[in-house]
Amino acid sequence: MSSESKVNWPRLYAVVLGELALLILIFYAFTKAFA
Amino acid sequence: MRPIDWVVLIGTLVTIVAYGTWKGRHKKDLDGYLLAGRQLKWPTIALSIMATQASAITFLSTPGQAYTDGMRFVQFYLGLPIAMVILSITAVPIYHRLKIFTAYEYLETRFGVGTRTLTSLLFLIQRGLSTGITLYAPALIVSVILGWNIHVTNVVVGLLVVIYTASGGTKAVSRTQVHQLLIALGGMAVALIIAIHSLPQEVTLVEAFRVAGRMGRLNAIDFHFDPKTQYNFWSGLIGGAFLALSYFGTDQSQVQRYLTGSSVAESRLGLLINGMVKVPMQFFILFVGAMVFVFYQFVAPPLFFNTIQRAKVSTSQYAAEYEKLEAQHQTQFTEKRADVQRLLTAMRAHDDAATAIATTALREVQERETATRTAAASLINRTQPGADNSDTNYIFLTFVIDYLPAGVVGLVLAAIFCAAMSATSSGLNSLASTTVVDIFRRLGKPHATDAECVRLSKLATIAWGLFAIAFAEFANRLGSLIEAVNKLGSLFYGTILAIFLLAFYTKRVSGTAAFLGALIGEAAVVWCALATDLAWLWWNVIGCVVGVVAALIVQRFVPEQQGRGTRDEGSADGGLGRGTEPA
Repeated sequence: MSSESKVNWPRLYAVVLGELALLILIFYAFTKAFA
Repeated sequence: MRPIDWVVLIGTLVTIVAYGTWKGRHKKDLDGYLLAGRQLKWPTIALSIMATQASAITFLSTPGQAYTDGMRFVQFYLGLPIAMVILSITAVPIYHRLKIFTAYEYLETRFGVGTRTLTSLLFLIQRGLSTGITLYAPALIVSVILGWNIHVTNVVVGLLVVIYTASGGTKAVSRTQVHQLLIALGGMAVALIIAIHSLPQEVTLVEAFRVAGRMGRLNAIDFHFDPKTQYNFWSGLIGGAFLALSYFGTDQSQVQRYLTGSSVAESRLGLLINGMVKVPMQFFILFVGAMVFVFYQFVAPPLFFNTIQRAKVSTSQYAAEYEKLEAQHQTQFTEKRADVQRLLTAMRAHDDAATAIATTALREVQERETATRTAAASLINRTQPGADNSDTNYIFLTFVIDYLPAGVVGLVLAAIFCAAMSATSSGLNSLASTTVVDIFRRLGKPHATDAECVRLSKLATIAWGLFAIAFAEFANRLGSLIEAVNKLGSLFYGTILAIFLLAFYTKRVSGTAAFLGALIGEAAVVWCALATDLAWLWWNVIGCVVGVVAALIVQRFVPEQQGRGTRDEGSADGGLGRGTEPA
């Protein structure tokens, strides 16, 4: 992952934002599960 | 502190300072000194970015936040990954193409020297002050633990950082940050394991979660919108994204980290990895605080965690009143522990009705305990008007000192010091860069040689180190430190972001309009801070939106020819005039 040509940028951006969405869901479930 | 703790603490710090000095020992030109020769790879950049943001305040104050207020502070970071993606797409290619030393250099190519100087000065004020707060945190630890004079402690810690930052420049800063962050996270992981292990044997991990949850300490997400609430989903996602855009996109302490990348790809990857790791990392640190909270449901906590303030009130005219509050607090703790036991028994029996009753009783006694703690804080304030009456920053530290085994105390303290040193070194490093590149070399001596600039950068690092040490003297009046740093930043970040957005995305806005728009945006932020109850995360949005809209309106009334900035031909690193449009 050290060269520009090897990285699919749109996919990597989607992964970052997808991870954020997943974390929000997990945190919400965490909040509800133990409230 | 036992001898083994001292060995671990001193050994770690000496190794880090020696390593940093050794790594930066080679003679450098300005590019080598300020940007590590633009040769760093993404793992170093990512860890350096994270270490710059994660100061000792993060590791000290954040667990305390979770203890007193639950985990909702994690929402503050929700906008960060979005900002990382936006910056990777927009700012990183522009900065790389221009081969600039500071983010503010870019503004001159677009708006002229006035706007560049204004933003540089705003940065120098804000970062200079917040570096002082960053330095204060570990000094606070040592002064509380060892009873050292906090003034002396500030100087000692500050000088340690200055040694390798001034001598080695950015390369020394970035290389040491990798190790410092790993040590800091390792220390927190050990503290978490021990906190969980120290719970009564019959309490399982899930039960610990349930106790924390029932007492409002696992409240990670709150979708309820309220502009006066500091931390909810909306303020974190929107306000936090604006704050992160400004902090990572325009604050030299961060921009300098990814300007060291050997290519656009390396810098982008560094930012994006930060976007992926930061939120879980903050969740983890808050979770440590939540588990410390659970621990103190079974072991009596002090009424007030700041031992120095506690000692002062105990010898004042309010001593009897404080003693009465302590007795009341002890009774409430006994009552609360019994309620926790009742709750656990009810949950184990799957008795929903008994669980509900125990939860209600627990929350009621917790409210009374909070009231007792508030009364103690108020008593401390009466004893010493203007004294720090918040003990948030001392909670995690007290747990570490009182309950962690020999050696581990030294490790956690080393972790906290490492974090402090890494954030302070980035701050000083960026302050020196901006002072030399944007002020001295631009306004004072455009034809200065590289050797002169490197020498001056070293002197500027030392000077800013002394300034930070001086400001640290005032930091004990700022309450929760992590909030203080972010609040201070939020006074300026929105306005600075407005200027950069105008530069990136508008072609017709002139330097005059951007300058006036920024002043109007800053005035709006100051008004919000002084005259409204608006939560501070929203100041970033207000400063940015008002700044952009005001500049666009002003632009309608100023002549068109001011749209492009000018730059002296004789400026030392000329050539910035090329390619100023967004990629």
